[in-house]
Amino acid sequence: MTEGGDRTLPDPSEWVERYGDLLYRYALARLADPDAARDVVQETLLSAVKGRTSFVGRADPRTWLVGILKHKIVDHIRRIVREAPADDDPEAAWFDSSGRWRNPFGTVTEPDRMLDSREFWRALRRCLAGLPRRQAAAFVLRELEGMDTAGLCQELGITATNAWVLLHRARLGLRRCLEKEWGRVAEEPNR
Amino acid sequence: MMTCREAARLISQELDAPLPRGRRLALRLHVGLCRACRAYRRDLRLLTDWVRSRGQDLEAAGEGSRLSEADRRRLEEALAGARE
Repeated sequence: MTEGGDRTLPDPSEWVERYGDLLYRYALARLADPDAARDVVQETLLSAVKGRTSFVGRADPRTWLVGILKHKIVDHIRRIVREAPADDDPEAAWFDSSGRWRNPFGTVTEPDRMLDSREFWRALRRCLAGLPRRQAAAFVLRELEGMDTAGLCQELGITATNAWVLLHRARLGLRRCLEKEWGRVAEEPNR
Repeated sequence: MMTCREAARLISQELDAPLPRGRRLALRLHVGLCRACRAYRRDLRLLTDWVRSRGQDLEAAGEGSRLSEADRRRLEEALAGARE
């Protein structure tokens, strides 16, 4: 929190102006879908209005609102996962019948440049949007929301082994996708 | 020896939970001999460190996207409606 210290909750009529983009960005990084991100922001603001007497002035209003948003995001992800079909096994596309890499990864030559902040978030969002939904959901809850395996199992109603398989496939899929995204970045001279 | 397919699975799993000792040693042996799996493990660690360290940074999260004017108005209206 760089400019924290704001301990009073502004009037709800100012919320969209002051916090709308922050909440939207946070949701978009996790849901990778602009419509879904806007919907969870709306749900968040509406439940914050109803619950605003519970804001006791101990926290930064942004932290308080993001706390509500996190719950809405997890609810949304849980709904998606319940409705999503089981994934096909993508591993046959990655490994040959003797278990060797079909297309080994090259070495990333300039990791710092590839991990340039804004570019990276954009690439990550595109790649998350392209993953099967259950894999994307597991990755977001684990890596962006910091949930452990037990938390994942509870939220998604799956076993630890399922969780590890989903995360493994998500990571491999992301690595493959990011290679394309990073390749594009590397080709732009003097960016 | 362990296959790359199996190694890749463990390279991911060790980011979520400690591996049993036998698996850990077998993975170390495989990665020591396999350049492709070494590169994969390095990249996954980079990716994971990056995402974990910045995921909760409210300022940085998500590449500077903004709500559209239409979305902004819709949210304002929803909020105003909820207060009546």
